[in-house]
Amino acid sequence: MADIAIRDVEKRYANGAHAVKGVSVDVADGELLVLLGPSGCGKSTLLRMVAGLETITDGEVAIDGARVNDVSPADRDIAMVFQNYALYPHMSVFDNLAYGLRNRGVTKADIKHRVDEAAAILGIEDYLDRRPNQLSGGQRQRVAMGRAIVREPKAFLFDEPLSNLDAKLRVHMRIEIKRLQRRLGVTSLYVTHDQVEAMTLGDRLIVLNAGKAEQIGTPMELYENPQTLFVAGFIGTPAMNLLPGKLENGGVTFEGGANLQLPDMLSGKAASKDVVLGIRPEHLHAATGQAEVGFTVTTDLIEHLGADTLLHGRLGGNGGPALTARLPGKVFGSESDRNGFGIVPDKLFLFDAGTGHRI
Amino acid sequence: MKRVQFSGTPLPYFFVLPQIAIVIVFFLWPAAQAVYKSFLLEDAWGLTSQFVWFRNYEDMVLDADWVNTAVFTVIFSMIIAFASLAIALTLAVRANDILRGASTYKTLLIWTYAVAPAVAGLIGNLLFNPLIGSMTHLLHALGWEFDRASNGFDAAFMISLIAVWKQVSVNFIFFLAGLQGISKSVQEAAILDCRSRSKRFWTITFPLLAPTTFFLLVINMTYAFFDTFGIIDTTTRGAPGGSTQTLVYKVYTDGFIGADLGGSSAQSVVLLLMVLVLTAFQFRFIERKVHY
Ligand SMILES: Nc1ncnc2c1ncn2[C@@H]1O[C@H](COP(=O)(O)OP(=O)(O)OP(=O)(O)O)[C@@H](O)[C@H]1O
Ligand SMILES: [Mg+2]
Repeated sequence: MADIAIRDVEKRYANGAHAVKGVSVDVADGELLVLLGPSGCGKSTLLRMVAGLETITDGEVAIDGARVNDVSPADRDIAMVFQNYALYPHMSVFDNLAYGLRNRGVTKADIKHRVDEAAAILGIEDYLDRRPNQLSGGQRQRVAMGRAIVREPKAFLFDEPLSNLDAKLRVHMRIEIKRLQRRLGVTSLYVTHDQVEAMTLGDRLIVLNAGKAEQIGTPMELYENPQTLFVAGFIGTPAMNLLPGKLENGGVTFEGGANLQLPDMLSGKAASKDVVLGIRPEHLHAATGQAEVGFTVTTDLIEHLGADTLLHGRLGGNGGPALTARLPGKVFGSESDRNGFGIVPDKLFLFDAGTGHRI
Repeated sequence: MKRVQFSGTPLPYFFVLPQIAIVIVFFLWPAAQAVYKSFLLEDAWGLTSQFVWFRNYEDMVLDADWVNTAVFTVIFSMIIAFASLAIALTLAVRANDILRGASTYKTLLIWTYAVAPAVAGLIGNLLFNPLIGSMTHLLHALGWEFDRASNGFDAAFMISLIAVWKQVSVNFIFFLAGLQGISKSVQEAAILDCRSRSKRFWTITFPLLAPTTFFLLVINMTYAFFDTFGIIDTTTRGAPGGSTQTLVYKVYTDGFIGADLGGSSAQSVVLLLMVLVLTAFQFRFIERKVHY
């Protein structure tokens, strides 16, 4: 077990693509850090640099305090789980698990013991003689996990290991991975573009955008305190309402003319005129007329999800910015009955439209 | 393998008719003729013939010349198949690793495929010309008293070299395609599991190439058996003393030059059977074993 230090790491591919632009993060011993971001933001590239499958253009990666930039992948003592599992098709499940151990000179008896143990943990004892093509997707996923855990490595690296599974199995395996990682206490890096997976799995998250780290923190920190527009829009489902507008005399004027008076503590700090107001759908509630910021919304669609209800509409009527509210439980009445909402002032997020930073 | 059932309509058979006609006229009919002729003994002018059952076959296997030729053919074929596969695989592995200028390398390696065997033979003749051949000079400079005209080994070495040179390109294309068909992440998983590059090749890459290798092995054996005819005919013509003569070449010399049609038919029937066995073996093996 070990900690991983990533310092000012850069990646430029041979074709000039600047995939990672100076990322620094420390992964503590036993921690599971999730790399989250949209497709093409450089998550896999960063992970593969830690694995040694890509060279590090600049900066440093250290595992257990030792710089590994020039250490070959097999000597970094890490195990990786690939998106398509990458099992050896010509080997039995047993041999798939044993291959890495054999190449490290582990004794036969020890290999058997470790493979059996890993197979028992993952429930794949019955398939040890089979070839990968005789297994279901879920079973292959387990074998891929097994191949990682028999090695007893310093760190696990996961590159979207669940994205080839169906939705139900994905939720199941997600929980299983979390349990397993807790139980073994192995430092892990986990790449995903699924923010729900990231929130539920990660001890901490690093949100990447176009090769840069936008924010690093625990799932709740990112949810409650997004520091940039990008993080605000990326974390949370349904996504945060982001309403562009102009800051004028302590209030925001939106397209279509609607105006919203902001609490002083927000408007006072704004340096620019162009702002984006962020409102999480679940923070909106039916207007109570008390100490809160009130909205008038023309609701045009109600979606009943069972546990919650989503209301879609436009702030201040047609021409105003789109707004979604999520109210708990069942909502009675028709669209036209639902146009007054309120929000507690400190749940409002204000961003500078130019820089994308939180105000 | 997928099996398709056609029900009732004769239309599909109509469409394969031209193909069937070609097979009958150019393959089945001559093959049947060969089988028939192999049971006949003709006089030297081809005027009378006599049905002699298996006499021709008996004569063939009892003939020391034929046995020598058969042994030479088998060794020659195995050397060509092995050498051209090994060289092609090495080149393909290297070319597969290259990122920059990859297509130039590939083109350079592939173009010999377009050279006809007879032309390859002519090029070989020039290179190995006893007086002006640059290969002859090179070998002499290396201390090898190379003499293709009177030394059987030297002559065999020359045609093997030409045959391998010509065949490497085909093997290279297939190996390269096979290598590119191996999942990149499987190779990366192996990089994490095994430090040694050569060990990785023998435990992961090579087994995963097995279907390609096996297919090529059969193709190469067939090539060495039959397609080297053009090379031999333009270079050594079996000389010196029949030491570079393959079975196919002997069929030709006995039949068309020696005018022993019965004997040469018997020889070609044996060749036909060999190819059938090789092909049947390939199909069975490929269907069963080397498929992941
Ligand atoms: N081998 C390569 N050569 C050149 N550019 C590459 C290479 N691999 C990735 N890139 C580029 O680097 C950027 C980051 O790629 P990366 O694979 O890290 O994205 P990702 O965040 O993992 O995306 P996804 O979620 O789609 O897997 C992309 O713009 C991609 O086009
Ligand atoms: Mg990726």
